[in-house]
Amino acid sequence: MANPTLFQLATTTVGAGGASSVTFSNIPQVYTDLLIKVSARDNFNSGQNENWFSLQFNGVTTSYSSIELTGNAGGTVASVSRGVLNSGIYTGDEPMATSTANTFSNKEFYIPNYTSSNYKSVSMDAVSENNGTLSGANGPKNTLLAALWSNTAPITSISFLDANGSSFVQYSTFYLYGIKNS
Amino acid sequence: MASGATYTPIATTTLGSAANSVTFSSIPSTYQDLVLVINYGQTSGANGFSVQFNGDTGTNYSGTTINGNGSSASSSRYTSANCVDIAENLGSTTLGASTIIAHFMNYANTSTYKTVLSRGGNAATVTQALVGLWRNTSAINQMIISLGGAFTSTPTALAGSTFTLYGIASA
Repeated sequence: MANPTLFQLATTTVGAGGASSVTFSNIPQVYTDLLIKVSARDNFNSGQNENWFSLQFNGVTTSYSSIELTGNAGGTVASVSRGVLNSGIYTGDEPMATSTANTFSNKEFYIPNYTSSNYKSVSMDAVSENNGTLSGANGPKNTLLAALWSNTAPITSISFLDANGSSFVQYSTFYLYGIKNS
Repeated sequence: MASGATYTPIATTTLGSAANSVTFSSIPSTYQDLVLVINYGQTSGANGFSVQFNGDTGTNYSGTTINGNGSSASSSRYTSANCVDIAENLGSTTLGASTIIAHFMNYANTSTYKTVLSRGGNAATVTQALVGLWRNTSAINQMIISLGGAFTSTPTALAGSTFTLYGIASA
C-alpha cells in the first residue's frame, strides 16, 4: 500500500494588525498537485455585504481567465467570464466590515500539475454566507470557479491579494497542501 | 512542516499517446472514499468524462449537473444511462486546461447505492458541479473512465493528460 501523500506545506493566520495580502513563497517542486484552503474576512467598508480577493501566481499580473457559476441571495444563478482582476484571478466573495460579525468565507482551490510546462488550471469551490439581506452581486453567494493561468512556468509562489485597498482581518487563515500521486 | 494523514495514491496514469479511456482495476476496499483527479486536454471537441463501475454497462446510472458557461447558467439531468458523468462538455485542445475532481463516497459499502460528487472546469468552456448515482450495492473495485462516455476509440484525450485515483481514510 502506498503511503499517504497529503502534506501541509505552509499556513498563515492573520494577526491583529490585518494583512492586505498573504503570500506562500518558495513552494517545493516535488509534489504533483496543490490544495489550498482559505477562511477569510476583510475590513472593506461600504454599502454592501461582500468584498473579495484575487489569486496570483509567481508575482505575475497577466494571463488569467476564468468562468464562475454563482448562486446568490436573490435566488439567482448566474455565470460570468472574467479576465485579470486585481492583478490575478477573481475568487468569489468574502464577508467584510459591514457583514455579520464573525462570519468568514471558506474557499478551496485545487491546482493540478503545478510544476508542469502546461498552462495551469485552477478549480475552486467557495461559500460566503453571512446572513446578509442584499441580493445580487453585493450579497452572500456560493461560487464554483474554473480558472486558467496561461503561463508555462512552474508555480513557485502564490499570493492572495485583498481587493479595494482593504485587508484580511485577524483570524483569517490560509493553508497550503502538496499532494503526491506516487 | 507536519505531514498529512490521508490522500493515498492508489493508481495514476499519464497518457503516453492519445486515448479515449483509462481503467483502474483492483481498487482496494480499505478506504472510506475515493477521489479521482483528471487534468487533460483533448485532440478535438469539448467533452467531459464518464465512468462505468465494475464493468456494469447496464442502464443503472443517473445524474444531475449545474453549469455555467460564462454567460448563462443551466441545469440538466439524465436517468437510466449506461454510465455516470463526472464532467460534461468542458474539454479543450489545451493540455492541462481542463480539471475534474470527483469524490466517490462510501465506495466500499455493500449496503448502499454509490454516489459521486464532482466539479469540473475549463476557463474557456464551462464550470460545473455534478452529482451521480450508480444503483448497485457492490463495492467499487474497477472504474473505466471514458472521454465523452464513448467507451470506444474516440474522442481522445491528449498525450500528457493525467489521471490519479486517491484513497481517503475516515480516521
